Amino acid sequence: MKPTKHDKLGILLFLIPGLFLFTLFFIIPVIYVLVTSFTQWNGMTAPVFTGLQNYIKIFSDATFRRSVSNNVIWALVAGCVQVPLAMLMALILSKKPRGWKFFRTVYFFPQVVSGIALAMLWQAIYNSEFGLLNGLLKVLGLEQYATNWLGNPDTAFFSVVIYWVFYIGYYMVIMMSEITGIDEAYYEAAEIDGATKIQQDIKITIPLIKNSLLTCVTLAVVLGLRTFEQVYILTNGGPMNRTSVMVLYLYKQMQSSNYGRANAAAMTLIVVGTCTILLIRKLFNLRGEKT
Amino acid sequence: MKIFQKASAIALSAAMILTMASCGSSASSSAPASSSGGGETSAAGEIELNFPCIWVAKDSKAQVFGEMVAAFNEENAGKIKIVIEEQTDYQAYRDKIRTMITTGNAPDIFTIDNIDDLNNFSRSGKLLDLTPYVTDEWAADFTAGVLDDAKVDGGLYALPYESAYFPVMYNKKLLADVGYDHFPTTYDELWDCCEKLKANGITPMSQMTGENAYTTQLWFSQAIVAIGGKDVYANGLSDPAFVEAAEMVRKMFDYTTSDAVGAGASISAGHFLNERTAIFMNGPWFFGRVPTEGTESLNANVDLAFPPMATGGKGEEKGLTGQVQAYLALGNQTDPAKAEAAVEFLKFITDPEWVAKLSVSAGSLFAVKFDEPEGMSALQSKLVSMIAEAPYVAPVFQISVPVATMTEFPQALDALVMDEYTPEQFIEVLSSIS
Amino acid sequence: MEAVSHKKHQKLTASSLLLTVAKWLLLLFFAFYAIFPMLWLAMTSFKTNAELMANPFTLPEVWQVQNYINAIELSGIGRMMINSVVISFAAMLCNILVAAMIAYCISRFEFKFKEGIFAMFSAGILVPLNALMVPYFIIINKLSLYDKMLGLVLVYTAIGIPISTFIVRGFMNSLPREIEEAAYIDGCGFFGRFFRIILPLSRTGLVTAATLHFITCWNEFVYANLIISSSSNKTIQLGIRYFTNQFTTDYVSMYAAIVLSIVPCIIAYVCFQEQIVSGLTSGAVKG
Repeated sequence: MKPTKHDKLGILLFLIPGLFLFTLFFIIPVIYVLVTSFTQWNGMTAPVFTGLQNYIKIFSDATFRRSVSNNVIWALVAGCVQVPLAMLMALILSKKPRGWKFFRTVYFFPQVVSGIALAMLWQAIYNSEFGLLNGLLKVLGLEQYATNWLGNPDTAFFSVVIYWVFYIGYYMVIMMSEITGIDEAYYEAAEIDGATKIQQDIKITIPLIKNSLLTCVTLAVVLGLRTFEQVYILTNGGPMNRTSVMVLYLYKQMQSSNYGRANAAAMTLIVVGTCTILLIRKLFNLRGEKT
Repeated sequence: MKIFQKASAIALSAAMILTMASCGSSASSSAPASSSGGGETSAAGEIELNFPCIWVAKDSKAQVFGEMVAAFNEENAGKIKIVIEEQTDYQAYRDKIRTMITTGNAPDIFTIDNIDDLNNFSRSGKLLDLTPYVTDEWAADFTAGVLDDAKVDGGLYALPYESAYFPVMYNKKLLADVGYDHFPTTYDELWDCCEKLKANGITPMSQMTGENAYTTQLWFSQAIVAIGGKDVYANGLSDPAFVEAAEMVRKMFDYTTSDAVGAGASISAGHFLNERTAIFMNGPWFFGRVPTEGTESLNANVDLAFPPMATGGKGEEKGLTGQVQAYLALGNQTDPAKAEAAVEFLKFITDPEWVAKLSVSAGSLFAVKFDEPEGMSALQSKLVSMIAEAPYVAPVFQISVPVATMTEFPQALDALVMDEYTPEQFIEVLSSIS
Repeated sequence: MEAVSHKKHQKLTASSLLLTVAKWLLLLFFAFYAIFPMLWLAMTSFKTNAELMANPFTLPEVWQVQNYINAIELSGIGRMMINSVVISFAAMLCNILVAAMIAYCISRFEFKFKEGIFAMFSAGILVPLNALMVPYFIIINKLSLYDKMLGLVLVYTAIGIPISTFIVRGFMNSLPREIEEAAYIDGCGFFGRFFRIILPLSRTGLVTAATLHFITCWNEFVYANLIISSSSNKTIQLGIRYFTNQFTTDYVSMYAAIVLSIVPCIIAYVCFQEQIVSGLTSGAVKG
């Protein structure tokens, strides 16, 4: 809508608090991160300007490259598996099967448990000596597949990502609330046309919840790129840095008092992430009318 | 474009002001201290000092240390008041102290746990140089040489306080079952013992590569000193002893649990406490967990031993490794009275009588000399007598290399024990980290 | 009529039976997957540390109520819980209000820099907060908010703005323009349309963002530890860490503290959830 004069004043007033906080807590700190990313700095003595050295250093570090690719895989899995699963469950639950309220509530529970507690549980599940997973394999007679899940370089990253994928509650709730708001008339018309429930979902529901789908995919991807806590507790990036992610990498650089390098990693994350968000928007816009 | 330029110029200058202001504040006062208690000096002239402290809550030193602070506050009522800020998560504590110092807000009193931080903090100019305050009389309370070792560029910015020693802990009964009535004195004998334990269905030792790979790092340290002698760190990591020690660590993973790669401290300790492994290594703070968290029979079965020697190695019999676990440091003060007050507090808590009390209650040992008090646990007094017998206490690997090396250590260790790296490559990777 | 008979016909086929079975398997699998961590936490919080280390998946031999007594006594968890509720709730309200205001402007109006502002906020979502300890500490100190709960509220309000704006904007975008135009013709001004039309209609988005932000605040640890020093101002996440120290962790008491910290969240969620449902049915305007 084209703003009137009165609106313009309102817009200005409404933007001020947000822009003020954003400047104070994002723009200025990010400038600090950007400036120090061009220096060698241990946090204690004066920073020394080194140009692009930090960026060259981190990109020539196999661990950082692995962290970036791990994050990308994580984001892809979150966007392409976790969100579709959440959508599937949202579609099922919105048909209100028996006990749907119970299921909807329960699915959300893990979201309120801090990631730390979940990670500690899964550490115990994956343990090779007393873990549940190996115990289960043994019961099923599949003992040859038992392994030290988080210590085996072939399974570690997979194990770290996969347990997370099935915690879908948050996305499911977002999509479900959108589905419940859809006008019944759409479905009535489709029923008359003889469309099956599944056809209705594909033809009617999914296009109508495009907006929440976009929100969910973006959130899932962003949280995938920013992931830290679970990895820090489950594997601390091991074995052999196979499960390292960008934020963990930058945290370790901070621990080693390499603030310049840590901040170069932070800037990389911001740039990669922003590009990804814009890309997702583009993809969604290509597939349909404009949002 | 123009607007963008303008905006970025404004933002940049804002960032500059922010940074400069932060540097300025370091000279004027320590801001958090002043805001925490509603004024540095109250009307009555009481000096308030803030101390973000980790010896609180569940820490084994919490109780006696709390009494100590209370006693000090009482003795100096109206003059000095120590305000403890309870800190429990060590990693977060380190982050906070670093941030405070970086932004020019060093706490009045705090602790440091590693040499890298000690060096960096000391050179930041934001710590108080204790040299003029430490009289010969006071210095005599400390064990020989520790104060000199703590000096950075000729200044003494922190006092060594808690120290740790690392004997081997082993399960007497499990070893006796395979015919060992003593702990192996050489590595050759150790491998034989491990073979026998393994044949008997017992996993010989606890190892770990998760978190900071603590227990394995300790074994690596022992092996390094056993092969290269106590001065092995003099030439960085170039001594061939490091490669040989890496090979020994590699071998130890043949005798450990299947979850050792990626295992954290609670897992490796848990195996020993549940008698699933027979040999373990950790600091004296672990002793207290044996009776409370171990199996019922464990307490009677655990004993301490000197670490084994390497055939042809330069390490001496009964040589131990150890490290200063905590240094006490003070933030720089503009007000000399505050500096005096903070030093007063350090004097108080390094008083040998109090330290003795702290030692008994917590099972820890200190860089301050004290007469062996009554009431030590069997393991603790055994360790004290072992230290007296030891010809030297060599530093552990962890404190002899930069923190950056230790950050990468667990990852490189994974590669070593999974045969991705040869021992040579392992040492090469560790020495190349900057 | 036709539709009903069609439905009946569907129910009889083998493939629909298979679908029903698959549906119920999925429902139950996800339910189990979600409940299991809660059960495990609850069970473990009644064990001893020795039992936990011996086997993390057995029932406690004696149910240790002591862990809960520890959790309550040691850290003064009650006070911390209240602080957390106050801080998280205040930060959530401020955050959502600020985010809704921005989202309203950028989703309902055309103006200069609109795309720029939105792009900037999107980029903000990816800023790794771990790297910002130094600047945040300086800001909080400059504002004399060190060791003040208000300081934490300010930080929490701010850090969630990009993500909340993003979510709320997504929901506001899907509202049809016509309602607003009608309101405008009826003489409803800028603020009137915001408070009386857009806010109520984007309730789902607001609640979605608010829930996420509340949970984020509730679970935040790094900045709580950095900014707060006195025990009386600490939050629940600091309380949970009271059971760790430099060398060991009293896991079972910590789990007891975690369980205690989850309970208010679940209660809040169950209440909120009803709010969402009723909000949708009463306020829904068909587009």
